[in-house]
Amino acid sequence: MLEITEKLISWCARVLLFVGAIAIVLMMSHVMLEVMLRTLFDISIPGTEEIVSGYYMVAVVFLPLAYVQLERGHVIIELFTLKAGPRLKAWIDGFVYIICGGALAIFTYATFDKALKMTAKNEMWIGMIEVTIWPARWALPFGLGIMMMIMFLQAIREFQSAITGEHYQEPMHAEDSEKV
Amino acid sequence: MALTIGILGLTVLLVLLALRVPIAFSLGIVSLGGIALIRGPMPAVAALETLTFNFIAHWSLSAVPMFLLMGNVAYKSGLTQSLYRATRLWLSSLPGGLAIASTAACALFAAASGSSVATASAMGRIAIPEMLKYKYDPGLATGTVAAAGTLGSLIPPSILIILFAIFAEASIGQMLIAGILPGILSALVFASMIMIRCKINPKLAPKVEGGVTWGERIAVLRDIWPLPVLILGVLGGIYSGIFTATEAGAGGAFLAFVIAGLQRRLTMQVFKESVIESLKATSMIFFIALGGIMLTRFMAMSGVPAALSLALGDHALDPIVLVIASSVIFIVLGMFLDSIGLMLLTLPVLLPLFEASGADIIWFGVLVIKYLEIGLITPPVGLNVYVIKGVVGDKVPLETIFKGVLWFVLADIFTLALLIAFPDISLLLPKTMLR
Repeated sequence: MLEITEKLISWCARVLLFVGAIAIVLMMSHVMLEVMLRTLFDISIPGTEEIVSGYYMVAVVFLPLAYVQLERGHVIIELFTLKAGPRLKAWIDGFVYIICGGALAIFTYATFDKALKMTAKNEMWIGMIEVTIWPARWALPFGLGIMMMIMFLQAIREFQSAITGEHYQEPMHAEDSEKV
Repeated sequence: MALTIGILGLTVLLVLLALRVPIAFSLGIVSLGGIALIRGPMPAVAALETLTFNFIAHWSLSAVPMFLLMGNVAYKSGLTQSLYRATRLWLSSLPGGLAIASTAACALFAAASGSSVATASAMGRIAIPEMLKYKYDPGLATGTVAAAGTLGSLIPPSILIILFAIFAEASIGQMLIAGILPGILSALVFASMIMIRCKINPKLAPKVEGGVTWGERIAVLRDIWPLPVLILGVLGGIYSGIFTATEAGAGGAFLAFVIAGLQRRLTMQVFKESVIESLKATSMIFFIALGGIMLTRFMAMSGVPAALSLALGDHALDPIVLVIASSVIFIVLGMFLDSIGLMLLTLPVLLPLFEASGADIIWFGVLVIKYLEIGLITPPVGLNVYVIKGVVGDKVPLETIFKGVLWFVLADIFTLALLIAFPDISLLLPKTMLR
């Protein structure tokens, strides 16, 4: 049961990463096109700033968060726990992940709530043209929500290895540093 | 009351960091809790709602993923590969020539990469084995690359500089250009220090093969042309105003792709790895930055910066006092924290003080970056030293690397003194920029 959930959630994290990858490539192409058209023909693509900041930027930051946590890539300070044994570390990390997961639950709730409100309002930004922005708001609860679930799952695994003393090799991040 | 919560919050923050709570979460949780205690739980959630999206959905921030992408493409497609061979052919006849060549190669690599860690790990792999092969002192060999790698944060593009500019609400373009001269100065001070040490004690750096011909020196330039093209494209574009500093990131990434394509080095593998590495780094950096934004809000509500400036009295208005006080804070905390975390932890307190003093924020920015660079190589958490340790493995013990780095820390303190004494080193180029 736990393993199936892990597989499912890590698959979600990969899908989000893939969408983020599309966004970063689009960001480059879109801005480059704008610069070229402006320099060569003095034409500006309407809405570039709004789309780059409202969509690409948001996707590039929030969608890969879950994947980064899958690889435990969020920076921690290890200096003060260098001498701690693996089981003590597992206990600490388990509690840390529970707390972080809790914080993420609040964060997910707040952004979900905001996304709902903005969807209802049909949020738009008005620059040279009107750009509908509310769909981008949904990237936050998705990215943060999946990250929250990963943290809770990792907390379970940490407690398991803290109790049994066996180091658990996570199936969800062992195989795939390059595969997406 | 709010003040007590503020000071307590900063203390709890340090405790959380020590307990392996990820930096982004430590900043976020403490700020959320602090705001909730000062203003109530609903305003805290509301701050989370409004601050996060509005901070990230920001045009100027897009420079960060784009510069990361540029650096990754340049590195993974091998554009930076022949750098060390080139600087070596040109500089190896000097005393300590290979170490000087490594410094120069790091400075050039830094111009394609926005990160100190990336610079150190990339050049470390190439330069250190060569120096060890020629029986260079291991401390000198490893220390050189660990320290010269930090140039990645000062020489544009630089992720740290962009983040500073965003938090200080300074011009990203001016801040990036401001890093050029201090970066070159740092490299020159490193090189002079190496030369003097090797002149006094030639055993540190035995002579390498002689008889490099000018023909060879000219020929090698043909291999490294992409890099100057990339650097001039980006810096020239910003300096002349063809693109804004924000657009320069996309321009640089695009140019890196084009060059890699022209050299037939743009494989699917290179493409995929560069994109994913850049994504992961972007996401991680901005998650910490979000924590920093929350802390800024919490600090403003608690009144800690104002209380601090009151405690400093009239001295709070003297930029030199502030600069020296902050150098102590940065260098002490820099021993324990990574650079982005440290910057985002301290700026919410220091920036209001500095703005009140009326000194140039660009100058302060350059100094902050320099402090952070020194923090990257001071024990016990000198991130770059650990990067180099990872590169050399068991061949050189950690203590030797830290000992080797010590000379470079002294050189950096000298550079820092120059930067403080002569603000124009930092301000000259941004002042002459076309707007």
